[in-house]
Amino acid sequence: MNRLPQEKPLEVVRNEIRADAESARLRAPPRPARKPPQATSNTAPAAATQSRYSISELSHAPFPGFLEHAFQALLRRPPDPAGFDAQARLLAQGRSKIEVLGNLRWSPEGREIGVRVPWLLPRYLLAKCLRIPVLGYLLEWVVCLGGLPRIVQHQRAADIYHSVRLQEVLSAFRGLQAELAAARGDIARLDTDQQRLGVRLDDLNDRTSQLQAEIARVGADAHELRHLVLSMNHWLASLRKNLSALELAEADQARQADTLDADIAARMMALDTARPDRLGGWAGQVASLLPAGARVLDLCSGDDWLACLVGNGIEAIGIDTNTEVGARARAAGLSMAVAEPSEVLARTADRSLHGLTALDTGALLCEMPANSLLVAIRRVLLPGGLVVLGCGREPAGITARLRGRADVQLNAELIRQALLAAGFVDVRTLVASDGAVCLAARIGSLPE
Amino acid sequence: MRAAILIPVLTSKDAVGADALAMASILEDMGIETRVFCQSASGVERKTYPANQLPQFAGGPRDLVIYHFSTGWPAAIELLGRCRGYRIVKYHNITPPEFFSDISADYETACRNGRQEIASIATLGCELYLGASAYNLGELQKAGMPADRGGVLAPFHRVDEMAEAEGDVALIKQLTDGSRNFLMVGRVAPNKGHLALVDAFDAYVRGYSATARLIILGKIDPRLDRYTAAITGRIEALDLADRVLWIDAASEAQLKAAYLASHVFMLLSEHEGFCVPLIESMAVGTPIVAHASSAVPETLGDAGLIWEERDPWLYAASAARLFEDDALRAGMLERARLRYRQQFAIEVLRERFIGFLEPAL
Repeated sequence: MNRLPQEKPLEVVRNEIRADAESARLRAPPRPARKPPQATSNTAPAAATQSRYSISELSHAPFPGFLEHAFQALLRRPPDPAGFDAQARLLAQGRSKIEVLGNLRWSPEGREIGVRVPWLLPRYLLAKCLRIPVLGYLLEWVVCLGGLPRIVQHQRAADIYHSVRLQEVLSAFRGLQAELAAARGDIARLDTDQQRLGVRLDDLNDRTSQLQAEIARVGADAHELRHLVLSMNHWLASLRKNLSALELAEADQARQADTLDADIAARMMALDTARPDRLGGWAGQVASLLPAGARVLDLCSGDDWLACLVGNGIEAIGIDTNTEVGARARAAGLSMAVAEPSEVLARTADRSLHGLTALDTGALLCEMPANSLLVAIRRVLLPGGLVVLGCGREPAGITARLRGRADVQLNAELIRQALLAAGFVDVRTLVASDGAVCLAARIGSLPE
Repeated sequence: MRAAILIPVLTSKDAVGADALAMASILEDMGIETRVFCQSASGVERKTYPANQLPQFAGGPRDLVIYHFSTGWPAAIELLGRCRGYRIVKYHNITPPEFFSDISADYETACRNGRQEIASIATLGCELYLGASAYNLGELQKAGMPADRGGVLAPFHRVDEMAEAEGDVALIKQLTDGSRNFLMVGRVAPNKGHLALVDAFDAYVRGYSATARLIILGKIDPRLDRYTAAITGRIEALDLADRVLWIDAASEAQLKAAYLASHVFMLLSEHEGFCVPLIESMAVGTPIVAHASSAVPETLGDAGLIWEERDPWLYAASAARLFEDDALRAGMLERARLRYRQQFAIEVLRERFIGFLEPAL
């Protein structure tokens, strides 16, 4: 995902904008000559359609409906707060509806719309004349005096109208009384319903209280459970820590034991003065039986045997169970891993080795049965591959013997027969300068 | 307990009407019987009642009255004086009349009358005065309102409705033609600074040689046609007529489309009591460049680029910087979204409103 660059501090941005504004002002092209304003523009609001109203149509409604209707009819829009307020103030001051209608009709906006209202103009002008000081007052007197018969006529008509309206109002009032009585009955019923609902509401409140108490109890249990889980976590953490400490101590002890075993083996090998010649002789014979650069796996025969094999041009990899022996071999530039021989054999690929050596066969047989060992050797060797098995007590197996696992005197003939029985062929005895022997055999097909 | 909302003229689309209607809904949700009283109403589904009936409905000592003060209306002072319960004045501010000199005598008179009423309202002894901004509250305090009776509550708005509405796809398609879109939302009135906006837009077109469009979205008032004519005159004199798109009386779908398709919301208004379009821009995610006048700085906060100066080149350069600087734009938009969520979201305003009502409940 692309990330935006860091936003600059606002004050820096503002200063850069100021600089950019000055730059833009300087680089802007000179303004073209101004055109005279044109009458046509896409801004003009749509013109209202023409219409016609009589004065009575516009003035019959009472306030405030009168004003709303007048705005809609004469200006084609609802009243705005300022306009409404201005005209409402005039009405409140006792001005006539005619004057308000005239104000709207002959406002710039009203003129533009041009709604026709016959006889409004003379009456509007008259209304305006009545506002002239002194003269207007006298004029109003004359107008009122002249209109007196008509006013009396209106008064009589109004009397009749109001009488009729009064009868209608009385009739409506009686109807309302009847409705009121019915409504009172409804209210009484509603009161009853309300009381019933109140009882149910109380029941619901009780049930809600019970549920709330239950929720509180469950909440307390959950809290306790949480406390227990936290305690368990703490306990498990302590246990894990203690186990780690024990494992560390055990590993330390094992390392000390391996160091002791390796030292004992080294001392024993130092006492065996014939060992270098013996191993050198065997290694030369083994090398003569293998192709150049052959891959050979050695099981627990010691780092000096491994060095002899490598010295004779063999690509040898050793296995030992002692970590100290392994470390010393690696320090000497040899390839040696620390592992159990049975596990290494199980993980080695089929037909991947030219040879396999194990000078301390007795110690090896204490770890795995002879038949399993021989079957495993057959599996990992290439066709024609060579196996070399020692038949004496070699110092490399001393550590195992110190642990009481390999104090076995091997019979060379027994091993020869075992090899033959397992399908190995060309079994030969390799004799060292001190007379010690080991057996070498090649892989062959199993007897029918 | 009963509650009454008092407002001179109720319309659903203006900011004051939306605020009043939202308060009525919240009070009803709280189980309080509520009515709206006004002189006149248009475009509103809700039933309204004549203002003079208010004392009969909610004039008792346990009742609540909320007056939305945004224009002169002497009757309101008289009505509030007759109520015995908890009285709240929500002050939305009144444009100074000087803006309307030589443009509309009606507006000038209405605004002058309204501002003359500020002192009467402030000293009426109402239990609580709410300003749509601290700027508004300051005007009331200056006029004599006791400092311990004041609070700030931004107006309820219809941003959520706009966000949920479907945008006008045809308009979005028309606007997404590669041009940089400059947007201004607000009624076409002389305090809104349209002339300065046109100058800033002209500076951008000339200074940055870019394809750009100015969208002026707002109701055109025929009674302010001199002002409208002055704007169109300036546009034509600067040879910008084919780069300016006017959208009069926009629908919610058009408003949403304009915000979505615009690259910058530019406000050079000279007087605002709050300015709802700023929070609409914050919510929708349109970067903002604004002039620091009246209540604009406190509404905008750190959610946009704001300048004390009126130099048009500064606004042009700000827009150009926002178009090019991805990190700056992303930072601005993130701060805007955060500010909207924390300060102006409906849930936040509702909590604050209910908090202010607590002494009356």
